[in-house]
Amino acid sequence: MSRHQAQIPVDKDESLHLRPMQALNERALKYKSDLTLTRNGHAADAKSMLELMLLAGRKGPLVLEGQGPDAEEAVNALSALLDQQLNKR
Amino acid sequence: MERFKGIGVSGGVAVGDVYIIESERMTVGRRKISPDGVEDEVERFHDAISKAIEGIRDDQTRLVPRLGEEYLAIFDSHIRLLDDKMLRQSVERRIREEHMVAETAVDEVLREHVKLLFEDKSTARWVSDIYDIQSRLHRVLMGRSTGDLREMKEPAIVVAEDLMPSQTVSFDREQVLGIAMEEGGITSHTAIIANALGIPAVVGVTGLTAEVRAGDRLVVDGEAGEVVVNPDPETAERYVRIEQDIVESDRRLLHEQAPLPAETVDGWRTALYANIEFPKEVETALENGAEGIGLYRTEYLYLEKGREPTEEEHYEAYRSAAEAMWPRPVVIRTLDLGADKAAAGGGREARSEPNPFLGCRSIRLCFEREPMFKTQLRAILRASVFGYIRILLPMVTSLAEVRWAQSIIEEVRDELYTEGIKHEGDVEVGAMIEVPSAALQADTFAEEVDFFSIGTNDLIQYTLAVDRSNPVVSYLFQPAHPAVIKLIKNTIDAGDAAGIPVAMCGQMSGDLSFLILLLGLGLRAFSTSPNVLPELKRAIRMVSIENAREVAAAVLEESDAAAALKILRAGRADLLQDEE
Repeated sequence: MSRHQAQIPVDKDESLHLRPMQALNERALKYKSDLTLTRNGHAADAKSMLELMLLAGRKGPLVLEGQGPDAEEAVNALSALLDQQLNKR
Repeated sequence: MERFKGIGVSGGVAVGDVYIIESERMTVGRRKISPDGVEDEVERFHDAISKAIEGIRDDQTRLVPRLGEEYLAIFDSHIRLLDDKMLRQSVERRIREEHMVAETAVDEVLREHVKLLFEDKSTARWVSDIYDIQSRLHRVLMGRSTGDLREMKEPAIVVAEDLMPSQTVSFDREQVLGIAMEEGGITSHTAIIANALGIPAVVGVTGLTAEVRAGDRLVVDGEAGEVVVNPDPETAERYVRIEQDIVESDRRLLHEQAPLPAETVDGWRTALYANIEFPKEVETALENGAEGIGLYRTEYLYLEKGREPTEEEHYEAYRSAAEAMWPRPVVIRTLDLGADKAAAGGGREARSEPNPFLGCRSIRLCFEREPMFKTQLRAILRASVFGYIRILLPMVTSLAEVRWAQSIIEEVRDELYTEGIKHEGDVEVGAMIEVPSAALQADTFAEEVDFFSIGTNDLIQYTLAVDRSNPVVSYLFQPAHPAVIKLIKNTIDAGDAAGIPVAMCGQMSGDLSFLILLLGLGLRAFSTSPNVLPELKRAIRMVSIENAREVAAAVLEESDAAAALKILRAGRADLLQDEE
């Protein structure tokens, strides 16, 4: 069991769109680990689109935390994906 | 033994064991399940998610080519929202720990979610997506409520609070011996289908579901409008005898009448057509001596599947009816549903209107959802190659609507021609006269359509501004009202003057009380449930047009429905007396 964390900056402090979160959600479902995305104190299970939706209106950077057998791989892949989707890098 | 009164909507008597179908209201109303029902309920919920996702995929395949690729993403995102970990876990927990019914649990979880979404402007815009998946789940859960008909093993009498069209269309005469339900009236879809299938039915039986338990025995007397719960042996025996007598006398009448022409005593020929809902009914229609299909209601194609039927589904249904009836005519009525029931059409949600009978229904709905209308018309024109099909436009209120529909038919014809698809180029188009404005303007309509068909149920409802299913005002639903009779007369006269055929396909056309009057007014074509035809023919063969004209003249003199009805009842008594 390992535990990993990554912070993903959000370039503009505006609300998040559905598409990047959906991309995250779809990818998250492929991992065994528990994956939690937190923003400004609000946590969402990355495997639930309904919960992810609720982060859209919160401000600030996103923190992704994984716990489980493939946590490191998951956090690396997902944070890269989110960063690319949100900040078009 | 306990007796209940209701409204007999489909004749015949049935005796048998009870099979209870619980409706959505009963399920949701209960809100709690028994502890040993938990596993089934959890399974029902997860099943519903899979089915709802399948539903989205179906819509996607069907609609994306029409709407464009950008809609692909919307459907995809709804699939993601349905197949959601949090949703599954939270609902399951409520079912397991609080013994909630799946519908209630789904509502609670999603209601909480909507509340959270509303907290921020940027998330509030997704609320409608949540409502969308909620209604999809609801539809699936309702469609498979506990006590599914498919689980019925022995032939039985179906008892329900109310039945949905999607349930009744799957009824089979061999399995469903009789129907008794709490809701509904004479014009309810259950009544229409029960009649079509020849299943004895009593509706509007208040308090029935509270008294009936699985394992009870029941008598459904569709003639007297009575339901007997757990009859004593003599009563049961008596009803079984009545049941056999009815079958026997119907058969005798049918054999007697089938080969005879529908001709009055003084040699006036009339045409007897059948109203049907399903293509398979053409057999019953032919057995009963129908000279054609006067009204093919196509709504069940839409209701049965819970989605818009494909062109091929339409086509197969129409083609088989047209082929079986050839060379007799088949009048296909285009979609006649309210927006409240046509949820499937165009992938939209069922929309409730404050005033559905004055709202976007029937031809108006076709106007609003042109692609859906075109699909049906394409199938009709294609199927016309195999028989004699005529198109009937329901609920037209102005000539503009008729012209619009004709131009769409024209367009569809051109499209089929361009695509090189075999179709009939020249199909007759008629107007259903069921709104006072159309009846009053019948002379103008007659110049632009090929035939009329009078729909009496709606004509009465719209003329007298009364909903007959509302018990408080249903006494005002008076078919013999002078205003109604004048509108019918006006329509028949206009048709005669223009030389186009006029038929009647409403309930009045099968009612012996009105037969003499209608013949006297000049009506020569009647369309009714197939099983009414032999009786109707027997009666027509007893009437002379000369006498009928006198009766009509007398009725037209009367200033109120009660007096008119008195004359009509006397005429009916004559027709029945001679039968003995």
